[in-house]
Amino acid sequence: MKSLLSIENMSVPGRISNASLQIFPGEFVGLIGPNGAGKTTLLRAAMGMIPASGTSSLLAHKINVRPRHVAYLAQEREVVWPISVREVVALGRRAHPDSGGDDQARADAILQRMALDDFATRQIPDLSGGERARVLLARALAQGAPLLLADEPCAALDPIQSIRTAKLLHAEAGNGRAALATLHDLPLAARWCTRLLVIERGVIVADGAPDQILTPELCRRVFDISLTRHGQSWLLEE
Amino acid sequence: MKLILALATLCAGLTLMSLFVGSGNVALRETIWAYFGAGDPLVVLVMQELRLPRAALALLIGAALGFAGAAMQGFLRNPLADPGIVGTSAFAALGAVIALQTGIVALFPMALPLMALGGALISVLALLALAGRGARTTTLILSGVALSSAAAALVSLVLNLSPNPFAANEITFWMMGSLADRSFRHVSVALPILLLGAMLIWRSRKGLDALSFGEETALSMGVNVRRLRLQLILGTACLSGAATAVAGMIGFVGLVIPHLLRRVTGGMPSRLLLPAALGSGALILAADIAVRIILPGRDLKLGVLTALLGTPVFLHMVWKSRGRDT
Repeated sequence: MKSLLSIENMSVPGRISNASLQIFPGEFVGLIGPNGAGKTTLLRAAMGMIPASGTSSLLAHKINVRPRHVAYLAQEREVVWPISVREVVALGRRAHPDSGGDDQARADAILQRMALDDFATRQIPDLSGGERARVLLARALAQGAPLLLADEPCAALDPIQSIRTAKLLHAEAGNGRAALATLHDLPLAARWCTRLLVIERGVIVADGAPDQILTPELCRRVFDISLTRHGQSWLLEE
Repeated sequence: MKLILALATLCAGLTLMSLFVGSGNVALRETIWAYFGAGDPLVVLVMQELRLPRAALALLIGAALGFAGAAMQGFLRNPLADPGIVGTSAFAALGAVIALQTGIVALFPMALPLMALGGALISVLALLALAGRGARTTTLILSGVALSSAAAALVSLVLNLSPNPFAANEITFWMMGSLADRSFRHVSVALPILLLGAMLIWRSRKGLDALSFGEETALSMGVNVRRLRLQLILGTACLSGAATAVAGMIGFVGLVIPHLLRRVTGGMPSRLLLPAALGSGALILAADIAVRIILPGRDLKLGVLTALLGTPVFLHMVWKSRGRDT
């Protein structure tokens, strides 16, 4: 199977060293690690937003056609201008200038799917942080790219919205797309991600299914916590 | 679209009005004939060589400032940004001041706008050199602020060392901004540069929309942010530099009008560009008519009036935005 993202020997001085990874269709990959481990830096380097050595397959596409291959949810969520939620999500369709006029319908479908249609006419600066985060994720999904790189898609979300967002990305993966998302909620990541990448001080130290890699030793060493599995759920303790 | 039509109609009305307001008691019928070249040759000269270019420049300069202001606010994601922020207008003013101080203007009147454009060009080159081609937005803006301060200091130095009080007086009056006694030569000097600036900004309009979500998101949406930055800075430099070169310093219009019209157009930066240009064109036309009516014999300066009108609106904006930062 052809990968949607292939990173080889990527290094950012002082922040990432020699990271290599591949993402395939059908995967929802969680990028986990403590604060400052290099999660956001790795996503930015993969997108060509910061100078890095090594290769990212995304950069083989020209800037103007790249949105058809990858969508990106940035950590920055501030929008100062009074733009309506519906317009924001429709902007995601700009990656497809020749899509034949059904852009608004597609954007509306995403709004409905994410239960955002109730406030489609509200303006984005008037929304709460969590609502804004969901709208910006909806914009990224409206892009219709096979791969989504999401920097903390569950940050600022309440528990139920965090679960729904993780389930949504899981379902997207089930539809043949893929997502690579930085996550801090380990039980959530362990429950919904098909694969986890653990990054510690700029080095990918583990890569595999949650069951296999979230050993008590790794959790203690990297996160200084205890994470144990109880059926489908995971329990987090100090 | 309705807003654009309404503003375009307002501009057309004010342009007509501008053609019929001025010193001297010329009958309406005589004024109309004069624009077609008939009647008293002196009246024909005044109408065709002074009032017509004056009205054209008011519209052009207002539109340039509004267009550039809307673009800069969108670019910096800040409703308090204005076209002067890139430092070009301050350098254009410096060029003009040197032209006045050295007396070149007396020998060759068009030296003033041409030297002002030279100043604007120097500032653009200095900005690019200071900030580098791949500079981030903050670096570009800080460089613009530094250039503005340098130009202001140099203008003060010229005034300070001016041996001739008349030259100093002339410089001070020019700095206040005016469209009196401008000719079609001023239009022809400014127009190509204004068109180039407007084209650069117009081509950036979709990128401006994407930039509303930050530079990273814009890049992920297919915008070449580096090129966009350069286009917007150069476009604004062309518009504000050429406007200052022919009209002097006219403040607040490029800041206040885009901000006010955003309430009607909504937040999408691309949708604000044309209304802001037309709205600012209308304001400058109206203000330029007002300076001729309020104090007919005293040559009230256009820049003085726009600053007087703009300051309270600006303070109101700052007052309203105060709660958002806390």
